[in-house]
Amino acid sequence: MIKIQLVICKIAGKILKLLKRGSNFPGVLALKLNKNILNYFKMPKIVIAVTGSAGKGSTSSIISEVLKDSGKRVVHNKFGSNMLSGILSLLISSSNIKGEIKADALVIEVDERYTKVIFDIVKPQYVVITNICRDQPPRHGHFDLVFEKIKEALTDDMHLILNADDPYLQKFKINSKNKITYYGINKNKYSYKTNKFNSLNISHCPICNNKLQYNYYHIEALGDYTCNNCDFKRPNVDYLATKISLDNKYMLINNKQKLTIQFSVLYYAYNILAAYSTSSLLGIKEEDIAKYISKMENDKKLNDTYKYKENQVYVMNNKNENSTTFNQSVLFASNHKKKRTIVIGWKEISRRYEHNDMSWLYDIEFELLNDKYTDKVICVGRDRYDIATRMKYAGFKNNQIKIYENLDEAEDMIKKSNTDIFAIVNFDYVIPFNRLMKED
Amino acid sequence: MTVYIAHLYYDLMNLYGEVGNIKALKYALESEKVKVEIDKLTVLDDIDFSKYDIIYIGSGAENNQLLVLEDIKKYKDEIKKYIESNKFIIATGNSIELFGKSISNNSALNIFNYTSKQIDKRIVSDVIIKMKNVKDNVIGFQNRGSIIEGNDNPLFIDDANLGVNYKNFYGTYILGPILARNPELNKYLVSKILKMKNNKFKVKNIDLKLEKKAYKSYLETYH
Repeated sequence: MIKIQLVICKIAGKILKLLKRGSNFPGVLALKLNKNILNYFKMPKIVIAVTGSAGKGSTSSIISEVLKDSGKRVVHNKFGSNMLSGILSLLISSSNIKGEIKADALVIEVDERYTKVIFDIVKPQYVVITNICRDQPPRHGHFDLVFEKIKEALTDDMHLILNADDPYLQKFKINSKNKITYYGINKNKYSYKTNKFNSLNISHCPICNNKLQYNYYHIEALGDYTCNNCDFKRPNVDYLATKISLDNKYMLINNKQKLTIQFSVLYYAYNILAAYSTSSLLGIKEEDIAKYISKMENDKKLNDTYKYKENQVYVMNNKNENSTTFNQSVLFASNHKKKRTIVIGWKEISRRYEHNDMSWLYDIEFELLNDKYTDKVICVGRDRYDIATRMKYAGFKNNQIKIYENLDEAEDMIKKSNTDIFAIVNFDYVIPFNRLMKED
Repeated sequence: MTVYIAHLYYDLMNLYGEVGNIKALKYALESEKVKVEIDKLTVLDDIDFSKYDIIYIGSGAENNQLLVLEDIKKYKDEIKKYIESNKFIIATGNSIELFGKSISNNSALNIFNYTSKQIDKRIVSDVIIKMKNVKDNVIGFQNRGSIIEGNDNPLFIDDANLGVNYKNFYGTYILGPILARNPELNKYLVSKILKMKNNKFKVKNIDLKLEKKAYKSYLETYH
């Protein structure tokens, strides 16, 4: 019976594909027809799950590409359908009638709220948890609740791949039996000594609650930390970017493998390190991994840079209600020691729900941009006055704050900037912004 | 004149952009040519409450809230005295629970009569609500997994358990940068604070045009 149901779902998927519609529908249908279908699939030898608040899409894509380049057949939810029905649809379309996944490896990004149910089905041997940051609070509540969700999904036999620089992720180690592999980034030109961010997810030791001390920071709470009161500290890093130059776009891993990074922001380097570590654990030669990653193209959807007249334009893709993505962009722009114009904006706060929370704007450290290099801040979109108010509290003068209802209205102001331009925008403004800059 | 502000448990009760309230207070006070000193304080610090004119505390994850509860209990008598002497406490989000009788099974400061408990489904919503003495409705957002019950001192008209007001204690479940988003509320509180410091003080310089545009545009766009 289940075989027939699987075939029905497969056919439904194929028809929809022909019509170019509905990537989740086969999964939805399968759950309606027979819940047992969840346990029907036989996984390939390698199963890797990537979860976390940000970076899971990029990280899983890099892993998938490396595995493919190394000659493995890979099934991957590359279009980002990362909840139960989406992953089920992926299993339906990539299995044979016996439910066997026709590949050497399954690599999936998993929505952090669906880890339990999905891990129960696919039973990953390797779990990458990229980070847990402030992300869509109306949906997730807060980061501790996301932590609990993921923790609940883990079983002792799963091998975790974690960012050693993030003390918050160390909470997965406390009282756990999981094998853990760590990656991290060494002190470099952009590391700093004193905390720059007001709203950190963790600043006290998760074991004894004393305030954590830092040798240096990379961003937010990430860096080289230690507790002066107990043994808690940044663990030994298995895959360490011993040298990293975001300007010259390379990093050196464990003083051995040099690889090119396409876009010079820190989180992209972390995604690469996570993918590198995972691929290496699977036995792929490190020099090959470095080679495969170095030739990957920059995903222009994520970030882009190009010239407009004499000036360099940086387009930075952020997620609204995720202050960490904005903080990365703000820190990146603040390291740019030339005259700059900042554009901040979005079409809507969220396309998922009707809530209009503005609090996350104050978790973003726009103050870092209030220095002699910022010429002006252009605030765009329907929440432009809330953005502008935030800029006022970041210390910008009235005449530096420019306010426009939409990008078309802002066009002249943006284009007449005789400075480099940083568009720090939500993803729904990336394409419209690029279109605007490429006109004329 | 100098106004002394304590940003209490700034690194543990900082879930939803609460630092915006400190910025809004500082901005408004400095507009009136008043000096502002802000101390950021946390667990294990030695806190002398009598030094301050304003104490601000924001919302925190449940684990952090309990950590703070353990720490703040040792100041129970000082905090009581502080409130009775008409000094200001501004508390947002679930920090108001600290001042009640209990948080779930843990005894709390017991300054007010309400108790708080966890609920299964989080309360997540925009808020628009009337507060006595403040010209405009207060706007904001709530995102919480707990409620208070038995509040004798409601802050808002029409909702007994969304806020607490006793003397100059102003507490509300509305989270985040409520003072940055509500220019009339900020002005009202700052005027009151300055009156407390100097009975003759008249607020006249605060420029809240931008904040008012944001306030207005929020209501027009979304409600």
